[in-house]
Amino acid sequence: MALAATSMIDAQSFVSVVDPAAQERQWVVRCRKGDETALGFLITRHRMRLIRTASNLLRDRHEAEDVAQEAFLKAFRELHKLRDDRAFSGYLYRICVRLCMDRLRLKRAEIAEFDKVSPCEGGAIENKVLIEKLLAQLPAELRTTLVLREMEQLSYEEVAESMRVPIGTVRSRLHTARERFRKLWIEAVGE
Amino acid sequence: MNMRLFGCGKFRYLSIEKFDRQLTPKEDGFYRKHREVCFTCLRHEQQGLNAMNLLNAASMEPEISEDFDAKVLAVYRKSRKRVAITYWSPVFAGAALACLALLATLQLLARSPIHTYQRPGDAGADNRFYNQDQQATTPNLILHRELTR
Repeated sequence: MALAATSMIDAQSFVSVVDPAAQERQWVVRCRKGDETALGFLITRHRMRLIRTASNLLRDRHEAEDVAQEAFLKAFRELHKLRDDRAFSGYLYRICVRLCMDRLRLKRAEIAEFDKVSPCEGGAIENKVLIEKLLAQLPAELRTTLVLREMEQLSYEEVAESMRVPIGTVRSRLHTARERFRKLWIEAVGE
Repeated sequence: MNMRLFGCGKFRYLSIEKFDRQLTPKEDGFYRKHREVCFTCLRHEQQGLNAMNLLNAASMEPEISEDFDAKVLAVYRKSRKRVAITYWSPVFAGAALACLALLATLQLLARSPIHTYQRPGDAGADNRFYNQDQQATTPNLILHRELTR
């Protein structure tokens, strides 16, 4: 009996080592029971991705951390709404993207006068500032679609799932976003 | 020349589609031919490519503060406490009201004539509350009458 129990524990630990998805599911189950260690594991696993996405969307590191924190808290508070424990990762990411979009909508698009800066001449920092200004002029939906696809390298399906829109909408938004971004960039660098 | 007049829109559409999918051989053939003859479209395409390259290069590297995990857990604990208080507050309020009601009732009962009863003839006894003809109903009254007979 003891041998069987030991082999079961071994099997569980083997599954958890081999399969991160199974491990995550276990953590989510433990979180539901109020286990804070499991919460810590989940935070450690997902924080990097969340903060990177939020940074790229909001172009502000501190705000990105705030949003990531808010996303974790919201996900943990509403864990009972999650039907499938395996879907936690997508659920958390969706919350983060939605929070970023809410913040972007609240921010007023700053229409700035651009200096004629050529990205080839400028350094990486100048390019980042320029990108920040250009992205600020795009509506929240277009900006989010463009960043998720171009910077985060998500597939159409993943973008659609994160933003809760059909794939066709993602396709058309991306098309519009690329064209607008190109025009803004030309205006900015004066080509 | 015709291609330049009628194919520019299609070329620009394909130049963006090219980012996401493999063009069909027919589309690819059109794309290449148009590119060779239309300088405006070629320039348009290069601008689009440059803009996308710039966007990709501007991806931010995340910097996470050391106490991020601890901060999230601390805020989570606080929010849970708050939720618990919010959840149980109606119960606490109800219990407090019930206590007040009970105290008020006890106070009223303590001031009622039966419970402030003193034997007639006792020092300081208020005989207004005692009527010999009163029907003895409570055990105290019955006992008192038995004793005073």
